[in-house]
Amino acid sequence: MNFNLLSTEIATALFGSVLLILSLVTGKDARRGLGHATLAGLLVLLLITFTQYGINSGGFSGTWILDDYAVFMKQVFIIAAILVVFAGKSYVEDFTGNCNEFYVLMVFALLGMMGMASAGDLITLYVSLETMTISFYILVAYNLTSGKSAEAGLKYLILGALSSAVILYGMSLVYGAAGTTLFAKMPPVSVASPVLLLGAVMLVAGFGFKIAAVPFHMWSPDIYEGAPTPVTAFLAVASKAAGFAAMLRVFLGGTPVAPDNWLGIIAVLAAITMIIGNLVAIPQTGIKRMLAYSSIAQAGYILVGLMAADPAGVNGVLFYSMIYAVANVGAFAVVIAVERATGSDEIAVFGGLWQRQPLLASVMTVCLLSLAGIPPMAGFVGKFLLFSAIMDQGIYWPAFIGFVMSMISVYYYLRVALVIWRDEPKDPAPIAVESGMRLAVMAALAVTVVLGVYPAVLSDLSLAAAKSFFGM
Amino acid sequence: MNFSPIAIALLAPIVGAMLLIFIPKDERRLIRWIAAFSMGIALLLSLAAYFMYDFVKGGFQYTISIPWVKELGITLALGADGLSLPMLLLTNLIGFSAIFASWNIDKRTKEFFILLLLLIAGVMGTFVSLDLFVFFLFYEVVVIPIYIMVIIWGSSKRVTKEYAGMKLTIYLLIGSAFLLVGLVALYLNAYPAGQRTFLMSALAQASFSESFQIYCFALLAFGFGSLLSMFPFHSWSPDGYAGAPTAVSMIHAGVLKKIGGYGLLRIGVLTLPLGAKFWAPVIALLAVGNVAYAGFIALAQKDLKYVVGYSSVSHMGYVLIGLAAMNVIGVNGAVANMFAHGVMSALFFAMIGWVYERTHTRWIPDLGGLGHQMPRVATGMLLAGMAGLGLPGLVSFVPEFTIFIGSFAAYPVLAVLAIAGVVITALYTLRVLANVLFGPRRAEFDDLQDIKGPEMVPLVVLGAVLILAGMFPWYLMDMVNAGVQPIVDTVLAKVSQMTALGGGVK
Amino acid sequence: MSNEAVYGIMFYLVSAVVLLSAVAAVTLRNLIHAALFLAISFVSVAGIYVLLHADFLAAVQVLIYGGAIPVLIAFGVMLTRTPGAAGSNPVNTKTYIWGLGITGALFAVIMLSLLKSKFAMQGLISKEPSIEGLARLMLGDFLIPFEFAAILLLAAMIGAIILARGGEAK
Repeated sequence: MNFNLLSTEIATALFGSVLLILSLVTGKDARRGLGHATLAGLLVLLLITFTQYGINSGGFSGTWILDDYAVFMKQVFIIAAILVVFAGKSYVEDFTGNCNEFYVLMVFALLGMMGMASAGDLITLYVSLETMTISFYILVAYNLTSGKSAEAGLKYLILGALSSAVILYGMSLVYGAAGTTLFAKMPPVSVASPVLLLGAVMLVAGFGFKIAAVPFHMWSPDIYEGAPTPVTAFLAVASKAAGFAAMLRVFLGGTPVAPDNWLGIIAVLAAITMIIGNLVAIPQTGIKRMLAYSSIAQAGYILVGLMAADPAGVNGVLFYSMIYAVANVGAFAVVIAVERATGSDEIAVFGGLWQRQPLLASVMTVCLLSLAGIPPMAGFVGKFLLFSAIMDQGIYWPAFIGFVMSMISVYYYLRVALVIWRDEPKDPAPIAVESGMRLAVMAALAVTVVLGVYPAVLSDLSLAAAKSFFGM
Repeated sequence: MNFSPIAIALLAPIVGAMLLIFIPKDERRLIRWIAAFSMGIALLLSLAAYFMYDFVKGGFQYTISIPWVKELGITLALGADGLSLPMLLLTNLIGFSAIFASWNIDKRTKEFFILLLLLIAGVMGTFVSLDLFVFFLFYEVVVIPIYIMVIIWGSSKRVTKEYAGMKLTIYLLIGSAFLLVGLVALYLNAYPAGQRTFLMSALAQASFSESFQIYCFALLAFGFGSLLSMFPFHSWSPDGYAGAPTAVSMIHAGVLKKIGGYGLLRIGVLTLPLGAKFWAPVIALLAVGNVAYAGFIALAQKDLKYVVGYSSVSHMGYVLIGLAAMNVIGVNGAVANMFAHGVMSALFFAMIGWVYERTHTRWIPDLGGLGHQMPRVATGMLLAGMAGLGLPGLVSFVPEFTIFIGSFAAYPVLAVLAIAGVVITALYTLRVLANVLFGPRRAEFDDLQDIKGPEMVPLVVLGAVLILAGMFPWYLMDMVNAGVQPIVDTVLAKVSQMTALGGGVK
Repeated sequence: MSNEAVYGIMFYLVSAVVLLSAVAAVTLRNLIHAALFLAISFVSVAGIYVLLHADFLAAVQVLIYGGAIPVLIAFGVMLTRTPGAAGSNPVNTKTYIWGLGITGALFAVIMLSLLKSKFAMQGLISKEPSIEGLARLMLGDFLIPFEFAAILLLAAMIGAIILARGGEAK
């Protein structure tokens, strides 16, 4: 057995356990230190992942695949986690009492995501998915003194369990029809039976829940609103990316269903997700709910890349996941800072932010514009890659819907910008930005702008990863 | 790398904007002068580029080409030919004037001038980029500064500035969404994967099937058309201009709109000649809609900015019908008219800006006899108005005349209808001028100051161009012809060749 | 009677118990009764495992779902403050029809596709004790999910403790 394939995961598991022990032996006064330890550990993990590029092999009887695709996705998760910890450290430390295990659970969630990106069979996939999801159930309810957080946790638990059940049912049907749990050994298209199709549909529904695609999205606004904001950021970004990582493995790694058959399902999902997500985001007055709906719409764009089902499409998915992660965490970081200062997450409290804290105002504007796909931000390049992949196959309508809806999304993103730049602040006191937060938002700003102007830095890497996914 | 005046002209406002970031926001004088200085450099360089253009050599000159994203075939390529140079000059003339037209802005001056310089740089970039991707990038870059400028420095009259800004932005962005689909389709269909490029010159040489051309040209025509306020996608234009601050109105009506016509010609007609041939009659028909419909609406307007807003929609009809004629004369006229209308509408908006700043109203019935108190503003308005109705000796006479000749050959009936539109133009222009400038002296305006000092710059610069280009039209027409002739020749050759092969395209 | 017929009768009998007790667990108004029926349903699932020759799984099912989980549920019900057992398991009767319609349709779809498909594992029943094979799979081919499951349980345990301990004042 080649344990080198598992070195990132082993390091992550070890790191999580060490953190757990540390959180038990240190007192409450050491909270701050624990945040720093988490950051240091995550940075080391990120470094380890860089040594894993180019391995491109599978192991453990095919249940584990370590290709560049998996490594790239793991980096997306780790970078999201790092940014979230940087931005959310003080917020978490404002929590009541036992906040120490917060980081532990975050690391375990991260481990689950890594497993999802590398899974080579249904069982590994399911267990890693559950590792991630269960950690999130707890993280969502973590603000123990807040009723809203508890409510969100309960909702997420019930709906999440339902979706897990659907996935599990789908998996058992697929296994029954295929006789194997390995993606690579799934039977070829010609022998696809009704049961296999049914199982695949259930998998789509289950994963649709994880990535919050319409019509499986109902949970996300409530839970995004109720959860502690750093958790919301992590949930919106990393768990969604992990859902996509797994979805790609299941649907493109093997051939459980003929592409022609499921293309229709994915296409319809993508279309309604883009349309409904964007339209419902328009009337929102709370920033977290608005970002929740916007992230639903973002899932729709990424689904278009999945629909293309070729290296160009996967390249789009990978590139977009990364910049979506950075821009979205950047926006949430600003929300965290403003929420800490004002105690509210209404869009109205952003009024006059340009006077109170120009850095946060600029970061928010740039990140939202990137999410909207306005050049020269990175989001535009990402959308270009996603939509040109599907257009290259002669299918134009998803690109139409995508581009038009993303221009409509400018409407609600700009409304936030309007409040930030036009209004005079109600309370002119400047908002303090501590060093961790400053680092997080500056990084988000820099990445979003630099990748928009010079995307080759990332797209070379993501293209290689996409090719490795198809064994090229 | 060889010296390229246009690249430096493009950099000047960007460098200026960066400099401004470091200036304390209370140093208003310094901020204004830095903005003016950087635009001055850009203007001088573009003048130099205009008059140093080598007609014998022709084609694109002052080119720069830097590979940017190799894998996607994106090149940072700049250059200018007879089509882009008038547009570049126009941008800088108006940009330079717009700085002075905003001389009295005291609210968040620093941010205003940074955004204004970025806006000008973005517009300039679209006209000199030879790469489709870079072209689109520059085009989209201007949208957000415009939005912010409208909502902060705009004015709420008939519609609120928030509404105006959002309408402007969303209309342009939806148009650009269609445009983007068209451009990406063009890029993907031109060459197989691996050899793809966004270079316009390479795309123009690719061959596309006829059905694709028709489909794709429709997308481009919708995108560029809504930017050019083609009927019936024009409704953003009057509302947007009314809400926007003077400088934005000047740049928007003066040059930004012209990106639509420029793109339609450079990308649409040149790369998709059969599509253009197919849709030209429809565009000609819509163009008459522009001229007549917007003209009649302008007649009924009581707000000065709305009159000019609708008049600019109406004038774009002439540009469209000239383009739709698809012969050298018509297209020459269309391009020259874009230049003419740019100068004229920018001057008009600048003067309206001064009137509004002093009287705090743009409501025509409330104004009157301003010629007594503000002779200089009155001169400017008069010049702009006369140019608008095509008075010989001013800039727009020759272009409009050329358009009529060109379009008459292609669409006699529509051309006659469009010429009839000039009468409407004359009616509303003269009505406005008479009501606002002439008539008895009104006591309530007696303490108003006429424009002086730096405020005179828009009048002097744009007014001088109006007259000079009217007196010596060949400086403009020769340049335009040098750009248009090769394009139209290529297109006609392609169309006739394809027709011969394909067995007849009507 | 042939072996096959006995097998068939047993299967449908056990399945009927599983389903009916599950329905009872959902519809009964008294939470204690509901919990008991849930336990019956779980235990009868073990019967199906036995019929499938999955002896180890059947034993585990009885141990955990027949023993541990009902006891936990009973603890949960008894320790939380409820005024009385009657009506402690509210049932929403308003949307019965919709629910019935949708589940009926889903059932029809699943049935149809099951009847129309061939299964790769049909007839593959090993007569040997399954525990050895399970062990080999868990610590061999499926080592990674096995280890992941350990972490999963750890995370769940930490979470349960945190949530149960509740919030403290700052």
